[in-house]
Amino acid sequence: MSLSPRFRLLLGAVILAMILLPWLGQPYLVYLLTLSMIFGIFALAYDLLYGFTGLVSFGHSVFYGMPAYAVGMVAVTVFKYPNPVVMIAAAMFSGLLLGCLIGFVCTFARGIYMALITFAFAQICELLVMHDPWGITQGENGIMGVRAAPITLGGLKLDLFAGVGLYYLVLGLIIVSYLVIRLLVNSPLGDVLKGIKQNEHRLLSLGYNPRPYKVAAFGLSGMFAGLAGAMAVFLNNSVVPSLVDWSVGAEILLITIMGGAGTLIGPVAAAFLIIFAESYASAYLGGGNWVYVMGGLYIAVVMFLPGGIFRTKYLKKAFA
Amino acid sequence: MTSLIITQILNGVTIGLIFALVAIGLTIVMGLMEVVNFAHGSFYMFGGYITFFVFSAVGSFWLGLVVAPVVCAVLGLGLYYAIIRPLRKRHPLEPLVALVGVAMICRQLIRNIWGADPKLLPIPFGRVQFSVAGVELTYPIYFFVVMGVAVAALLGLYILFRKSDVGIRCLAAIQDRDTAMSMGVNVDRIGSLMLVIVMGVAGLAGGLVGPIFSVYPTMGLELIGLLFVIAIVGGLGSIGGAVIAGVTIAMTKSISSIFVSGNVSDILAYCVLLVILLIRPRGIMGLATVME
Repeated sequence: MSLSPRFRLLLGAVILAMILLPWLGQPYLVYLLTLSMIFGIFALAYDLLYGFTGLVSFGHSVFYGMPAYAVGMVAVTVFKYPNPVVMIAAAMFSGLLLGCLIGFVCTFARGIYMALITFAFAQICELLVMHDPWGITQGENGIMGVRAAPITLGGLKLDLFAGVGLYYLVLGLIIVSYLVIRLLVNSPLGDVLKGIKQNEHRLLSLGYNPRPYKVAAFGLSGMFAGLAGAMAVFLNNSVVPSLVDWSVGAEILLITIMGGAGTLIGPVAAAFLIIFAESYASAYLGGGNWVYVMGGLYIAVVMFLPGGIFRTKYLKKAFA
Repeated sequence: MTSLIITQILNGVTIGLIFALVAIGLTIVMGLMEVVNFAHGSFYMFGGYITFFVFSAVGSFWLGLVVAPVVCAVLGLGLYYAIIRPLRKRHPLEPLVALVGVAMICRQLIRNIWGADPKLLPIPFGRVQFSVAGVELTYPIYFFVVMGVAVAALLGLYILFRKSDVGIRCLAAIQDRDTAMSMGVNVDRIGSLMLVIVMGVAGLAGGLVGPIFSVYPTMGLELIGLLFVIAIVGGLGSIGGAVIAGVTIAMTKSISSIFVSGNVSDILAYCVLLVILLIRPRGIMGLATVME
């Protein structure tokens, strides 16, 4: 999807504003923005799989939570080596590996049956980390105090893994992820992926075997989701089983559909909308009543904005 | 030990039948309308709470069990006209998002009305003592009643689908919607009717489990994942498949929980599901090619 000049201008303004925002000096705002961007990266990963390849996963939390556990294992429980580069690499590699593995198994089936297999994997993984048979995930309490050592470049000490430093790191990563995924979907590989979504049988008759491409889509999506998972660990300094829970995967599915699957920017915008609506609604409405706002939001977006926020006629007209 | 195993088998059958009763609604709605009804668990929860409400107001559990399906059926009709019908021509996942919203609102509504803590309904009847293969054991009579009611409801649904005109039209539409529509099957109308029926059944199941598990606001959302598993593993649109899948999964969980801890027995249940889905990628009795 190519962006219109007017939209590029808006995007540039948003990025500029994002760069300037931490100077307001509100740690909670920075935290929320960081969390939104982390979910934005996760949503980009999901959009690659669902929006472009047309594969539905109900268990995408695996690719978010298990790499987070990989980070925790590298830093605390197994290797005790809190080097941030190694931690991020471990997360992305484990995401890629898990994506290929689960992608390989679940692409035996199709459609909702495939989605269900991903769901089963999410359940199994969550139960495994809670049961903790090898003593490396610390059960239901999760791994606490996961911190990355600051990077020193020459004489310069860079603390990129907490507070404002993390904010800029995630901002950089979401831009890079967006560009890489855009490059991917516009590449010949991306054409095959879109072909799987549009008409798998025709692709088959053109001489392509869709399965390796589906597995690749799962692997790549898992890799970016793993990146988001690693960032979530840096943000909260802990790895807990609820990161693997299928409800996280369901949330990212909702965010992607709300934003407009296959638009990349839409799901990122929806991630911001959901995270902010959730936190402000829960701050102003006590006793869990913020759920009404969220439920209403989900219903309203689907009812009144068919195809997601980013596919509305109004937006199309404004940025044509 | 033997008596424990027999007890767990009986528990597995009872709970599996309840699961099947709720999951059938999901499979029919999914097969017929291509709607993944995430709010289905909420109706199971409503059923439990309405039974509890009637019980605490009038004092009769059985009256609650009659009222709950009726109220749930009416609510189901409301859901159909408010959410499902306006979204029926969209991509199947869009109604799913809206229904997740409905499920969230329902849970919070119940929490606001009755509070977050579980409400236990007293178990009607006492326990019965009997011997199986020389082993003496006691078992609550109510569980047998639940089995009986569930089997009766399942038989009723089976007769509806195999013998009645509406049921046969519904099955035809599940097998091949376009052909059925071109033969004059009004899929929208059958859909609304089926939704009303299955929501009533879900409400009945919710009432039935009240004395077993107690009723609490997250009972629907907790179960919904497992219900999808049973619905899809059984095969969309298949009652027999849902019963086999429901009982298999409940049995796997209840019997393995004798030997291993709860988490491991859950892992085993999901592994059984994975194996089934890999051997039969459209479910045990899957006939439809919908939602592929």
